[in-house]
Amino acid sequence: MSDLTRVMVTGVGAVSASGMNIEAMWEAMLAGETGIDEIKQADISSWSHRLGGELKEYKPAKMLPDRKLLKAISRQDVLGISAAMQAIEDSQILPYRDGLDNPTAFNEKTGVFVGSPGNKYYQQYDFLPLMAKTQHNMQAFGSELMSEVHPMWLLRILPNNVLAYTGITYGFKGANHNVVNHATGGMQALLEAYHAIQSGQADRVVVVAYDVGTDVQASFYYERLGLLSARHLKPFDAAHDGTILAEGAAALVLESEASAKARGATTYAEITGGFARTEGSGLFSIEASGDALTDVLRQTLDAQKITSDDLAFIVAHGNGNPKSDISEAHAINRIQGDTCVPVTGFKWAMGHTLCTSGLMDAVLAAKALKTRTLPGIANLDTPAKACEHLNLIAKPLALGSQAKHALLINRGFGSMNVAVTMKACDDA
Amino acid sequence: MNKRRVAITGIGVVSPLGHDARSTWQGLMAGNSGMGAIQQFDASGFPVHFAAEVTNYTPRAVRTGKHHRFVMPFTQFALDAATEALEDAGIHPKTMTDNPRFGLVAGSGMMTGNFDHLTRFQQAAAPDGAVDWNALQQQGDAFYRLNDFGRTASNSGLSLLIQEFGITGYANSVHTACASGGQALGLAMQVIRRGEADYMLAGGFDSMINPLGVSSFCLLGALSSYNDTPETASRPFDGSRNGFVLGEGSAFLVLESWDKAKARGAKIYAELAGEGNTLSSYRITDSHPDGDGANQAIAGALSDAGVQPSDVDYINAHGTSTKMNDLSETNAIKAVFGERAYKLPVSSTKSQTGHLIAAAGAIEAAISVLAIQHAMVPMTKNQTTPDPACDLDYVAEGTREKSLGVVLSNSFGFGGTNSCLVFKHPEFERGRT
Repeated sequence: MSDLTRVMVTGVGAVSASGMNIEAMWEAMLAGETGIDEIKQADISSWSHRLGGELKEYKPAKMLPDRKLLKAISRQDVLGISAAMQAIEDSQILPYRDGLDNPTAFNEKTGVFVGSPGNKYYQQYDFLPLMAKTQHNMQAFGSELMSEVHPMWLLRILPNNVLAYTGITYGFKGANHNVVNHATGGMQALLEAYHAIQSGQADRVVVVAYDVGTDVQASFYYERLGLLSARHLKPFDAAHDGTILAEGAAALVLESEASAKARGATTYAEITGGFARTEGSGLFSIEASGDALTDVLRQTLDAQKITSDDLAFIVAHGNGNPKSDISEAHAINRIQGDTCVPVTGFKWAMGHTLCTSGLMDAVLAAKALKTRTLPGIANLDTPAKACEHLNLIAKPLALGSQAKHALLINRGFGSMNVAVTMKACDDA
Repeated sequence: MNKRRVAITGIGVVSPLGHDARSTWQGLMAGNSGMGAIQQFDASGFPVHFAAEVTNYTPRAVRTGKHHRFVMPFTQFALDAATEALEDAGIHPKTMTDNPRFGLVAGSGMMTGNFDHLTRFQQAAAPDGAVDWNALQQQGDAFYRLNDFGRTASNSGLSLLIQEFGITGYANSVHTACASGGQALGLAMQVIRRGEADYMLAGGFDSMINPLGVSSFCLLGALSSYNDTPETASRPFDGSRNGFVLGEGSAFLVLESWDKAKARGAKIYAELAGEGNTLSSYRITDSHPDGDGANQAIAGALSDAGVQPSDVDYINAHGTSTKMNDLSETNAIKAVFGERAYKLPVSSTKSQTGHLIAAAGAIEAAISVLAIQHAMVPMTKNQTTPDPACDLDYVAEGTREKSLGVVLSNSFGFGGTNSCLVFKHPEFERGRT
């Protein structure tokens, strides 16, 4: 693959329960602090499962300077656009563009690739008063519609709002995609952005993922499905008993090596490849053996002609769900040689941000490769029996100068598995 | 860079004009209209109460398997269109020795389909219109149905297709409003080009013909209000156009690497030769009056396909029948094709099928390919009042026989995504007419 365009990470941004920007999150994670807490946005006091990863300071007017925009979008979009703005600011591509003789050409080669949660239940609730009023009389519903529901309702709930407004806000006009695929949407957007740069469709791409995993009605179903924990999110731990849903957004600016070099950009890391595949089974299924995940991991390492011995660390999906954790542990065990690769995961800190989660891990892995420090699973006590052969790290790990490659794992409904590899930059 | 060529070897369609590709094409050629009063629910009180529905529908086959409990009417369309496409291509992921080389991309609609579910939620948790979460939990056992969740998950449709056809390779689902179907096909082409798959099932499915979907467009004032004359309501490029007509359905294509298709002696309908994928970054719903954004997508698609504007023989337009889209699209075509724009047949089959939203790009890709196969240009129906600003050859008088070497299909979505696809006749060569 060495003849292909290299793809660099030159900007990062994030909002989550762990912090309103990447610096705050980083500090909290290194200190072992979790942002998971009792849900406050809704009164669910009688529910058995009340934990979630909510933003601690949701102040839309502060997060987005454009007040008019706030009226046109919903909460999930505020998160996504905020993360995108942070990453764009961090990358410093705008001052560079604005100094160019031909910013139009720059904009046309700047793409926006998004992992979107699609639509959420909460977005439909604007219709509830009308439904209550018309008491299931469809004719009355239709005739009173125009006076009861906001005329811009559809625009507020568009599943591609973050894509659209990231473009509109900055004038980016290049290739774009809006991946809607449950918890792997963000990571798949990252992979497609990587390929778009490699194939020359774009020179740089803003990659964003966002989700309001705390959507209360969805949480109701996750709980009934037995996917949630009422007490903690402890990946790979003997006490793991489910995940905790969260809201959050993450964003990266990716650039071709030439684009990054042309403006002397600071690089965090390089994206070196990856694959997204399905296990071919049910919407909520996970293969207990981890065989299909093993295939994706092997395929990813093989494509770059590297082995697990080349890996400095693995960022596991580690969602705290026993079946997911154990099948993931099987897959990691199977790709390892004699040396056990340090394995971490980040969901203990901010909860499972669903569509955002993979891209959130990519942002944090980029930060780790840049700063040569890897946050551990701070709440790890005793590894679960099936996970005890993993080299799980609990405390922050200092990465040596030889540390190069990182492997990231992301999984979601649809029996989706995604693997992505990143590489430290030589100057890091 | 030498791009891996991509062949189209299978087509499947469920549309308001017919329940398969053949009957849809015949309906199109016969000048039929898919529009009529909405039958799926009592829409008589709504400001707009007609649409282009898939009527008298019986699923293609009796299907078995646990996943079928999560099927919704519009994902049923997807399963059936995809089944037809695979049968047409004569390949199936389940019987392939190299199964992981068979991937899937779906252009999926929004989650507004399950009004019964919302109704039960309202009764359980919000009898007075305000949500009480503790009340929901009290009635939790009675309210909870796994099927509700399985049908409304963001990737529910993708998951059904994965299970139905035994996909274990690349799988993705995209949504950029009305550009979804086009983008799904463009992405599938890229996946084959980069060597990640040899075969792709790609297309789109949607229905927003339900109380929330129809409400959403009524609120925006985006729909044609010609309630009394549904059959002539969709009038792309006409001076009296006043909005689009909501349609529903699905279309899937089987794409495969040219070499693989040749090697197995497959019937090749056409080559998917290029895509243009841009953002207008103008406004959320309106397209730029000059066609900015769309014209870069058209030019990009031609360049990606290695053809010149002079090679294009027909454009299947996005042509929604809204004031702004049709003007903007006309201007984008003029910007790219110059004087030639006036000699180029441009038609909008939405005048007959209605607007299939997330499936629009997919059904119009299928129609473009069938147009190449049959050497026939579909018409734009319902042109009666000239619009001086829309002055191209919209094929208003009826279908036209024409040998087609290169066809362009445009899809533009809310949010500003533009997706243009270029299809070539399997024997097209540049410089030969």
